[in-house]
Amino acid sequence: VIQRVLEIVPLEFFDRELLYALATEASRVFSLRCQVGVERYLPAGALDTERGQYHATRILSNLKDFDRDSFRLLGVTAVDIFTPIMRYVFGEAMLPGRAALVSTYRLAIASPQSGQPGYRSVFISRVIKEGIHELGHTFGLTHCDNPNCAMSASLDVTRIDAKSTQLCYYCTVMLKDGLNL
Amino acid sequence: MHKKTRILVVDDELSIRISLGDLLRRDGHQVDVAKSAEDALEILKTKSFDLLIVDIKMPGIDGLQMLERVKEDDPDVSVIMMTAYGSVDSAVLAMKLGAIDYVIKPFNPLEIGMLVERVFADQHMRREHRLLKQQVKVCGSYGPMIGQSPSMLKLFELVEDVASTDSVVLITGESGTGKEVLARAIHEKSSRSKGLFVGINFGAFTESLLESELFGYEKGAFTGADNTKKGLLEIASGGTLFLDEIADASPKMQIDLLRVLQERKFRRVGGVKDVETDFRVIAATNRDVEKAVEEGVFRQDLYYRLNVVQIHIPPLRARRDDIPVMAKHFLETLRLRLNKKIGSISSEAMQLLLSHDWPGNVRELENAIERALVVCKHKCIMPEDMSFISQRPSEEPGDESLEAWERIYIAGKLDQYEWNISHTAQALKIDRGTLYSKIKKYGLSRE
Repeated sequence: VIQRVLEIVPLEFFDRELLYALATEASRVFSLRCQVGVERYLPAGALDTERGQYHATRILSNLKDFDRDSFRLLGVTAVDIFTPIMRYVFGEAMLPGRAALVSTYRLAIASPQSGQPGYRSVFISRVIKEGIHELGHTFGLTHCDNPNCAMSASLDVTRIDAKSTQLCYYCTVMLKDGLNL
Repeated sequence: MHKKTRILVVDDELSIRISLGDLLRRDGHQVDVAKSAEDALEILKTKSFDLLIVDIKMPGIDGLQMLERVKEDDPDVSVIMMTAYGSVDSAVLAMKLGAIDYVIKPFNPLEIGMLVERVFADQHMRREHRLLKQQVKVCGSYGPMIGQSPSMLKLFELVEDVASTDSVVLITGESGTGKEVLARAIHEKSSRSKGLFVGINFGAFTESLLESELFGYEKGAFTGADNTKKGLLEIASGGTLFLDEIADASPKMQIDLLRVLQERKFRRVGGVKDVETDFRVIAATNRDVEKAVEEGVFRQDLYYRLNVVQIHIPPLRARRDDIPVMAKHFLETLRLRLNKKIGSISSEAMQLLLSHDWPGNVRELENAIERALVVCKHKCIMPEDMSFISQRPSEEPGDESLEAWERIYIAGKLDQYEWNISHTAQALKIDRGTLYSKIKKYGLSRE
């Protein structure tokens, strides 16, 4: 029996504590074995020198061809990412598809608790929520109207802080359909 | 129920089409893309959208020219203009031409998310506003449906069962029994209650007017069709469509309705593209539809489609137990509206209400209470406040003879003119002598 593995791919990202916390929670939410892979370089050409940001779609396009044995791939990076239509994004994913990406850049600097005690746990929690959110898209889940659900739209950090790492009942049912694909 | 929204993105840049399309799909919208205004206008000939997001600067026809053309065809369509080169002049022009908003690329995630939410909230409000205007035009008045009689309690039980399903319901009952009120109650208790309740009365309009109200029309479909207009079938999508006085539908309208009920799609008058719709149907009639089918004036196949669950509302005279509670209810609501301090109905007046046959059913009872409230000079309604009831002859003659009908007609006119013989004779276009002889002949009296 081939076990379906969800791989967390650090892209020039070295915060192992955060990666393992993300892997643990993702494994629980998606009921899949989850592992943290080796660090990799961001793809050449992903940096848009005019905007001074990294092109999320290009990173994703490169990421999807990594480890072919993995069922899903979640890239984690600390650089600021964008799509052509957005000034920035917290993450990006194929809807549906193999690969998703989350950036910690805006989740860290936009925090009102930055530098204050407890900030670290808020930051890790945001990255986990965004990681699960983007992975949810790879299973075909769209944005959810339930503000507590991890699949509710992540328009700003306030809304990310307000939601949980969990999927609501409706999204859980849809996820089961996605996992059976 | 989450309604999928159809959005058309028009931009000459491939990367924008892809990223904006992906962004909107993640919100659950159905997205089509076009690389030019020319392509978009071609797509719009065969597909309809809830929202267009259009780039201003494009080779060939630019976004503003496209906005102008689109708005000419359908002033209701929502358009957001976007540009990478923001200028006050183009923003002002876009808004003047009818764009909902004007956004600078690339978007701020929070701004675009809230903008799209606002657009759909606005659309919902506009649809409701338009619907209310149409309903005022097409629907008659209605009162609340209340009752405690065994027949009504049984009926309410059936309503509870039916409301939770999506089955077609046929409501039968005499005029004024509250068929529309019942239909609304079913809608409110159903899973479609967040959608709209859209009613149309087949007895109130000509066939062509009904057709344009129901199906809507494309610009230029007929003289006077200056703009594209959505029909009630489209507006009812996600909600309930109430077909009142269905037995009065013309043969052509019956065929058209049958097709819509079978295929759940239709074409606007003068249109070439199919419009999909999703509504629950509740029909109502005060006529014997089975008899109409036997007589060949109502299609059997349409009858079978409509008669999935039949609910019959008994006439008020068959459930007199409900009269006191309904009369008190109308007293409570109407005295507030009329600003009257009349708090009750005397037992003698109530006896009068109980003895009347109420041919106009609940609607007639409501009107009677209103009329009594207007003339009442006491703290409670007295029998003399309802003299119009006691003087009124029975609602229908026991026989169908011309004489029987003439008796009722003349008695009604005498009531109307408070037994002023000259005025009544004038209204009947007969001389006073003839009126006197008719009064004598039919034994009419003011008592």
